[in-house]
Amino acid sequence: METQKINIINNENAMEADILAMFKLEEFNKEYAIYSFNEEYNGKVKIYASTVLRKDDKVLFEDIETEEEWTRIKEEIKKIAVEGSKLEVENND
Amino acid sequence: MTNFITPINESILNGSKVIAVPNNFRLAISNSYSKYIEEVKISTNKTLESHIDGIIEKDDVIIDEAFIGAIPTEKLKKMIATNENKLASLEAQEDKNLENSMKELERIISSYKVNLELRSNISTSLNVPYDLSRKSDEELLKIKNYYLETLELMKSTGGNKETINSTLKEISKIDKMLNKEIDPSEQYYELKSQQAYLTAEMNKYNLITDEIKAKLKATTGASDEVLELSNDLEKFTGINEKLREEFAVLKDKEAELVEKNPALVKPETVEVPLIKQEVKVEKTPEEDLLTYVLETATKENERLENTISELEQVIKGIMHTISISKEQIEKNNDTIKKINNRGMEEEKIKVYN
Repeated sequence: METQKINIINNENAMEADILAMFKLEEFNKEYAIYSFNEEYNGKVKIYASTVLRKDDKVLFEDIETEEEWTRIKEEIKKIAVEGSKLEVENND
Repeated sequence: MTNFITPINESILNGSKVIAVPNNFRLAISNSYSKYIEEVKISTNKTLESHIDGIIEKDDVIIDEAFIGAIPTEKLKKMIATNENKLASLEAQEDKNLENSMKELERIISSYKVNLELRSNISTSLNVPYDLSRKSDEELLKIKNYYLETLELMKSTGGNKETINSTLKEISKIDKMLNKEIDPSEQYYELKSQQAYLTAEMNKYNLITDEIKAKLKATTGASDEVLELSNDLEKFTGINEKLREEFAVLKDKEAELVEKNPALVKPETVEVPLIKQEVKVEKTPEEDLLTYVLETATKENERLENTISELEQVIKGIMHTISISKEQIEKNNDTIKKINNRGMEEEKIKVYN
C-alpha cells in the first residue's frame, strides 16, 4: 500500500516524512500524528508522535503535553499496529 | 476502533515524542492507516460519481428537450412516421425470411424422411447377399441416385457420420458393379455361393411340394383340405419356379464370367472327394540305408539287453554258490581242526599208556 508523505518544516528546513497514522483521541479532544523520517536506531526505526494543532490555515505539530496522553497514544499505536499486522497476514493469504 | 483522520500535506514541527520500534511494527501501523486512506478514497469517488451521474441525467433531459423543441412538429411527425414505416418493413421482411426458412427446413426434413425410408427399404433388400448382383444396371443406377440424394440431404442436415460412411460404401459398391470392376474371382465366388443358397432353397421347396403332392394323393374327394393343399402347391411351385429362374440367370452370369476369365475354372477348384488315400511314399537309398541301420541297431540293442539280463542272473547264481562254498570251507576247516586235536589227544594217551 502507498505510504502518505508529508512535508515537515523544522526550523525553516522542510523535511519529507512518512505519515504512519493520524488519529483523534476523543478523551483529549485532540488529533495526533505518527510519522517517521526513516532514521535507524540500533537496528530499529525511529517514529515520532506529535499533537496536531490547526491554526488558521496552518498545521502545527506540537509536543505531547502529559504523560497520561503519551501512554494513551502508545496504546493506540500498538492497537493500530496489531490491526495492520492482521491486514498483512490477510494480504499474504 | 481507531478514530483515524485524513492526512495533511505540510506542517510545522514545534515538538514531538520519539520512540524506536522494529521496522515491521512501523510497517504494520502504516498498513492500517493506508487501508483507511483507501477506503476514504473509494467512498469519496463514489460520492463524486453519484454526483456526476446526477448531473448527466439531468443534463440529458435538458438536451433532449432542447433538441425536440428545436425541430418543427410536422418535420418530427414525418421523421417518426418514416422510422415507423422502416421498422414495420424490416419486421415484415424478417417474418417473411423466417417463414421461408421454416418452409425450406420442413421441405428438407420431409424429403430426408422419404429418402431415409427409401434407403431403409433398399438397405433391407440389399441385406440379402445376392440381391444387388441380380439388379439390372438401370435398377442399380436408380438405387445409386437414391443414395446420392440421401447423402446430400444427410450432409446438409448434419446426418450421422456412420450412416454417411455406410452410404458412401454402398455407392462405391454400386459403382463397381456398374463399371464391372469387381474382381472376377470374387464375382465367381459370389455367384457360386448364391447358387448354393438357391440350390438349398429349391431343395427345401421341392421337399415341401413333394410332401404336399403326397398329401394330395392321400386325400380323396373334394374338400377344403384339398383346396388348401392345391393352393399351397401352386404357391410353393411358383416360388420354386422363381428360384429356378434366378438360378438360371446366375448360371448364365457364371458362364459369361468363365468365358471371359477361363482361368477361374482350374482343376484345383474342382471339388476333391473327401476320401483319405493311403499314399505310398518311395524312399531314397540314403533313407533306406538309415532305416536299415536304425532297425538293426534297435534289434541288436534288444538282444544285448537280454544277454545282460541273463548274465546278471548267472552272476547272482555264482555269487550265491561262492557264498555257500565259503561257509562249507569254514565248516570243513573247523572239523579238520577238531579231528586233528582229537588225534593228538589219542596219541598222547597212547604215549602215556
